[in-house]
Amino acid sequence: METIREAAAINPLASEWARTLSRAFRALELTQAPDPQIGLTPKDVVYRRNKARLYRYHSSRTRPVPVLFVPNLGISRPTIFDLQPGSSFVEYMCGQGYDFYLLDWGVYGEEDNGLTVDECVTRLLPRVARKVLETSGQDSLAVIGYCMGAPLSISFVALNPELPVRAYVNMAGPIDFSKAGLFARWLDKRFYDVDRVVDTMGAIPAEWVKLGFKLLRPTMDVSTALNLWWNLDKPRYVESYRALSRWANEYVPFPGEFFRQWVRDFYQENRLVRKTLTLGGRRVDLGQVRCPVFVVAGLEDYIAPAPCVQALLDHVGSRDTQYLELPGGHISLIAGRSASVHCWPRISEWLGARLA
Amino acid sequence: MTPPNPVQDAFDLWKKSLEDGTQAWLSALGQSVPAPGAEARSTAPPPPVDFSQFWRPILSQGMELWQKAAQAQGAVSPDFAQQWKGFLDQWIDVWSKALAQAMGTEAFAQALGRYLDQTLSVQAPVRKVVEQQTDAAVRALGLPSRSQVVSLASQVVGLEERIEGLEDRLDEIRSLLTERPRAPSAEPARPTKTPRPPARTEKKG
Repeated sequence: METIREAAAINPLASEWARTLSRAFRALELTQAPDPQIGLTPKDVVYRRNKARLYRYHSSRTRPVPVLFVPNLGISRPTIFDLQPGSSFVEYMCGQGYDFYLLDWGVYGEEDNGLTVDECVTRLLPRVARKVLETSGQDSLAVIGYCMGAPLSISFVALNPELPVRAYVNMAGPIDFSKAGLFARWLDKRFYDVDRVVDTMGAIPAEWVKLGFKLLRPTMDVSTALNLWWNLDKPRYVESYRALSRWANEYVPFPGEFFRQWVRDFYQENRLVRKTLTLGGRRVDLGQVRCPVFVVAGLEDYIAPAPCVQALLDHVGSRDTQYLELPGGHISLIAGRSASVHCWPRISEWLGARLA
Repeated sequence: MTPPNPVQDAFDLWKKSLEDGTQAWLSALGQSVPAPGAEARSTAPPPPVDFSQFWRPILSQGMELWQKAAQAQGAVSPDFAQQWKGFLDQWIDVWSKALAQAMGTEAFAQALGRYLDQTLSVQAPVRKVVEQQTDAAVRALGLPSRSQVVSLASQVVGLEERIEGLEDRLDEIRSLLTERPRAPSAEPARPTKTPRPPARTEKKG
């Protein structure tokens, strides 16, 4: 009887050791494994200008009104939106029958240091919108802005009230920069001389961008590594981790003048909500946005805290507005299992009702 | 009798191991530094520092923890690893929140600004020298310099922009002719750079 009890006591311990060993072997394998493929949803390039590309994804297009997705410029590559089959926002939206377009701003070099927010909003986005309408053959569109893509695209919509935008979605896009958390604090003009930074560096190197984001969550790497260790024996987890990790380690520099204007006008002077933002010689008035607006924010978003994102609803002139706050951070709205269960279906549902 | 709580036990043991480890470090360092007057008494070199003293208590207490868990539950719970993970997650979360609070202060932002200032003070002259030397080297080889390549690339970008401007105009005309609803045209072409304040010049005399 005693022997059986001892055996029963040893058994779980042995299986735990076996798990630990298999994790260790898996970790060794991972160091040799080739990079996973990301951004695989079939697409066509329908417009290109300098480094920027406009992609139109293949789908059944049972919902004909095109959806234009505008992500952040700089920081990271847009592959996060189409990470892997089964965990891709792009794939999900295409699967729902949307005619989905994504603007890839591209990776800018030294020759693009003169690119400004002004140029992106008043010159590039109008052309992109036009190409969306032309290639889809429709006379209206919906716009989704993610992260920095939200203040850029909403400024574009506000500057062009005649633009046939049927619905607008802000996903984790900062609007009121007085509530923008740590970045707003660090970029305070009393401590951060953006002119000196840009004049010295020209462009903001990818390493600096990485440092800024790492500093935002110093324990992130430790907890990510720990989670990986605990889940090393789960092939699906490891696969997702590797795909996410590939994206997360690919930082993108900021063109100098763009960064200057972005930090000064948005972070330091909060001009978008103060109604003092002027782009292309015209004042941006969010009150001019009258289409239905849906705002989605992450409760633990350190990059664009929920109150800073939600603020859009206080400033638009729309009557049909909705706000959704979900647990998780900046990325968990756009990638991962939680996003596919809690966030994407809500966006699809909301858009579907407005574009029908 | 209170029910066994392996997570609490783990935390207690972890705390104790840290305290013991600190003690081990201190005693190890104490051995390497002779006490005052000791040199006069003995000329023998100090014994080598045994750094394993730091880990020994942690390892032995790890074993103790497993044993304790085994005694409490009659067997080592397969959930124990999960509970330990929960403890670590919680610990990281606490640290993360504490750091976020510290980094959200004005003092931190000020320190960060000072650090950036110092970095730029070093970077600016270094970058200038490196650029000048690289340019001189490639020029000596009869190759275009970096700045020339960048300037050429900028001109290509500008040219592309002008062509697009023309396309916009053509589209506008076409749209006026066909009277179809369309997206707004881009602003007319302008210089791409943000207007900068004029360079400061020092008046002499």
